[in-house]
Amino acid sequence: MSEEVVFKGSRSGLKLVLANTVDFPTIENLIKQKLDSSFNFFQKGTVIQLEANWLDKAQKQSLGNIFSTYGLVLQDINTDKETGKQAFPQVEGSTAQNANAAGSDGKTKTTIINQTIRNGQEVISDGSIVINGNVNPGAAIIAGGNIDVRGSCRGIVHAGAFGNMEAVVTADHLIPMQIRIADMVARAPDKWMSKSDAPYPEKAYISNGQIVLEAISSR
Amino acid sequence: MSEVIVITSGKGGVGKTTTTANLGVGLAKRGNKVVLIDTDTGLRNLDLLLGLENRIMYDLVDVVTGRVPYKKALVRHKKYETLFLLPTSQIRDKNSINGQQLIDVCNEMRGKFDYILIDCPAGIEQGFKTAIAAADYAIVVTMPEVAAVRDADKIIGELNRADKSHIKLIVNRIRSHMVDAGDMMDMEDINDILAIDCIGQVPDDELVVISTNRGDPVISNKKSLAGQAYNNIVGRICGEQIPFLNFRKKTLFDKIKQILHV
Ligand SMILES: Nc1ncnc2c1ncn2[C@@H]1O[C@H](COP(=O)(O)OP(=O)(O)OP(=O)(O)O)[C@@H](O)[C@H]1O
Ligand SMILES: [Mg+2]
Repeated sequence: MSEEVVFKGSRSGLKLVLANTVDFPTIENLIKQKLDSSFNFFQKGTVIQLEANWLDKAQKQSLGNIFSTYGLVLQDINTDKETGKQAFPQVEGSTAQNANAAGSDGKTKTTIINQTIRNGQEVISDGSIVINGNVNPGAAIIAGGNIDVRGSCRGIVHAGAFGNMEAVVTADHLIPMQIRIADMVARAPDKWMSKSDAPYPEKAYISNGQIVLEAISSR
Repeated sequence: MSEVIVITSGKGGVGKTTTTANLGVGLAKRGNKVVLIDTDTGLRNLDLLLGLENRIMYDLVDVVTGRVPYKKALVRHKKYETLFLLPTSQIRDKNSINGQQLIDVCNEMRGKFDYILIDCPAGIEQGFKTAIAAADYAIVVTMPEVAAVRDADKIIGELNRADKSHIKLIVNRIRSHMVDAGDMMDMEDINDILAIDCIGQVPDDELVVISTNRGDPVISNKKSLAGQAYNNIVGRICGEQIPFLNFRKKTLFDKIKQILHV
């Protein structure tokens, strides 16, 4: 999938990060493609923050229009701000907190998907996600809550993507390229991992400031 | 009724064209009427593999633009009488043909052939979209290596998105000694990731290259393990239940085990 258009979870909510290496019509197409090909499970009205200070007002407006056709709200976090620091404008504080609250609520909604998520596909939800299938290399799962893969997990999984440090990732075979929980990252070893490297179900969570894996007996 | 099958892969050079040529010959040898359509416009080479390069008069672009009826562009194989090639243009590019045009050509040929095989270009751009448009089902060819499997996975996702859910897998160029040494992916991992029905495991075999250069696909060579593997795939496409070949060379240890009957 393109690196020019990336959704990222962060403590303050979901962010859309755009690289200025391609022209604007391409960006628009990539966003449409992404919203079409991803499995988006946002509640209507979910706020997505735009991080691309190199866009002009009209361009931001036209991106906002694309998102609103998908029932999503695009919010500019760079409005009239110095771009050096990653400070979030107070005006948007309320919406950011909403996203936060939804993530750490404990009783977030769960999206269940009964299929394998393949290379280039992405599942994004502000709640928890259960995949009844594999998450393949090159696929990404981004959840505000927990992620449970009832199969082999080889892609990128990001649980607690809006800052929830309590979030966990579980999988029958946990051999991902990357596990992220809140803002912590754990990377796979630099060798090809086979299913036999992770024969039993495991759980990943944050303990003492790092991501740890633990075998689980029952699920 | 004909069956229209697209042979695709995502990654280039994994053996789509080789597979198309071999399956075409194999199906024809069983008495089927077969047409192979080359859609790799600009980089055609299916004609070379079949030894038909010097017989081409018209091509797919001529047909879809209405310059000639498809029958005029078909090239009959010199050895296998029920095998035909619809070559593509070497000078035009992949945007010269769109999916609807290919659907129209296939619809015209449906019923007159038993199998229509479409050789797809590499990638997921326009050429790929055109090639899959007319297909009833897809055969995805891959190799037992990380990058090829990843691209195959992507292609399967794209096929699903285009509502082509009937997909079969062929794993080509398997080198069993590398698989044993852990330097190549094994079938278990490939099946676990791709999760589609595998109809062929073809060994890496230098006879493939030799036969390619001679313009006579390896499936006709009884001594070739790759040829046997292709023959088995043809059988499976025709609905037969055939176990997979064990093309691992016997080691001394295996031979001792055999003697001891363990
Ligand atoms: N089983 C095999 N053993 C040895 N060599 C092989 C085998 N299969 C294919 N090859 C060789 O690999 C090369 C690429 O094969 P081929 O042209 O069929 O791939 P392709 O997928 O059609 O490539 P492209 O994407 O460029 O169209 C050729 O030189 C071919 O002879
Ligand atoms: Mg080819």
